[in-house]
Amino acid sequence: MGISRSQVPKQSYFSVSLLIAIPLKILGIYLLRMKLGWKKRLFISIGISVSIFVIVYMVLILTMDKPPLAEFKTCQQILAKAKRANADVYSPEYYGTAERKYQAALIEWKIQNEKIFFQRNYTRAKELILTATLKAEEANASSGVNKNSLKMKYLQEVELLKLKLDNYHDVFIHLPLKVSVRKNYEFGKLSLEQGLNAFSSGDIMQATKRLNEGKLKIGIADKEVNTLLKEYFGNYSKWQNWYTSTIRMSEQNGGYALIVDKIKHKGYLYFKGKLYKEYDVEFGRNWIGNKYFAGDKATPEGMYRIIKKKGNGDSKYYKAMLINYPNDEDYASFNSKKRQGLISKNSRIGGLIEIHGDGGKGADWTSGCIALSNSEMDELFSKTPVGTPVTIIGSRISLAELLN
Amino acid sequence: MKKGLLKLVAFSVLVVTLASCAKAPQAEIDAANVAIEAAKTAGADRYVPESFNSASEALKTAVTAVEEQNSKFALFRNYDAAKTTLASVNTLAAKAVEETTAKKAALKAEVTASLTEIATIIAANKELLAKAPKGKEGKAAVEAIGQEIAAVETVSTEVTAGVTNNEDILTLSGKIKPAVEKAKAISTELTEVIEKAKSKGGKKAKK
Repeated sequence: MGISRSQVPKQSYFSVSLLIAIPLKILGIYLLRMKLGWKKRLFISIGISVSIFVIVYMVLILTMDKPPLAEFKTCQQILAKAKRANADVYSPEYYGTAERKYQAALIEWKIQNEKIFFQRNYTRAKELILTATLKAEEANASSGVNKNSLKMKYLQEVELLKLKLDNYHDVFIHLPLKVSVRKNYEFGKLSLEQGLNAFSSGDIMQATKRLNEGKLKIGIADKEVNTLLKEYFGNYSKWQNWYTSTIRMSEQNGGYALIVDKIKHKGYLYFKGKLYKEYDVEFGRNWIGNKYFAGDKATPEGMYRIIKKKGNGDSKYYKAMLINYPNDEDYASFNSKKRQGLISKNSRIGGLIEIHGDGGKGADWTSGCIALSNSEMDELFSKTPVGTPVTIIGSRISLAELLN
Repeated sequence: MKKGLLKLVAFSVLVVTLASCAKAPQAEIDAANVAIEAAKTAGADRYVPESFNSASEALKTAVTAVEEQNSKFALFRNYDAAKTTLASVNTLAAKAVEETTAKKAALKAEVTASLTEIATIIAANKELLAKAPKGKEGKAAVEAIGQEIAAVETVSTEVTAGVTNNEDILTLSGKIKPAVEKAKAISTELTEVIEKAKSKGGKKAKK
């Protein structure tokens, strides 16, 4: 750190005093010895004193510590560059330190300037401004890196959130969700769009803020949906067994079999154990879960068969194929639930579950039947004779697969 | 007599020396600091960062120039350059405030126009929603669109309140623009749903 401050003035004062006092003493002695008039003595005294003063001043000026002007200018330039690179936003720690050190250096410079000139020592100010410069350089360098990593992180999170929204639109949109859940998804989506708008304007901080708002809303909605789905997917192993048995039947019989996936809202037609065609299907509005009683607007889940085919005009809808709901298992389940008091004693088991046309509305509107568009109904109707297995399951894939 | 003359000469030299010492422009520095703070309070650092940075950098240059002079022997100090820079700080800071005010006014006009536009679209969307297929048919889809309209309407209400309460217009602008786009998208979606339903109805009648 060099000489301590308490030592500097004493040494300086002593040196300067000696520098001025000794020549003046010699001059005084010399002038007293000389037999000159007072005017001449005054003239010589002033002349010599000024000369001594100038010499001493020049010596002090030349040997004194130089102020850190160049260092400050360099630091200012780098700080300005860092600021323009938004280092205060993307590298706040380095930039903040640089600014603080700059101010500390300035204060130190001021303190030194307030001292008499030969007492000044700019070492500390120079050290501080050097630290400020180094921090500003680090801020400038890391700002770009941080900005890019923040951008990358933002875009990754956007993708994740979009995936969740895609799930909502492609899978969850069909779920009978509460209004508050749908609202949270919509708010989350809007926040995401607001964030993307800010991102395209280069305001990543604002974009991140909006993204986080969106994440929060979508997170709340997702939690409710996940709880609902987790409960629903409790039957997954049963669905898997039905699914594999149905395909095996199609393979063994060398015929068609229809597997209806409620979550995907798809009907998969298999022929000789191989997927032949898939169709968009619609259900009753309370399709999530099994059908328990008549009028619950639910579509049943189980292994069934087509027991009757109705051509156009024979049905309320455009063509229809009746399935054998309720089967023995459905009766057993219905009676058990009735005994447990899970359903009303007065309720009746439903029936007349059909695969019919007039679908393609983009909504779950039936009373529990499976609706297809008329053109697809035509094709399915022509391929599937009475006796064709119709298996209705919650999902062909697991919940984890579905959500990923 | 001789001593008196000597004292007079020494005193004159002292007076001339002291009188010739330039004073640091502290008042100008304080004024420049106040100007920069005023610009920051006005939001210039967010609305017109380039102009604000120029003013801040000029202040730093001026303060350094003052200290450069303070580092010199009192007789040789000259603060003219520093004073000129300090004057430019005030000009630049005032310009930044002016630009901020103009930008805020422009954004406020944009946001107000967007609010008017979104109100019209929301009203139209609600009418379209009323015409959309009801009952069992498409009920879920209609409900979902209804929630989308509700979300847009909530944003519109928030932004309207924000404008009334003089909240940060830059933030409000960032909120309303995507909401307008969303409202337009809903409008298109609803129109398509209604058209689809109409065409289906037509086809059904032909069977």
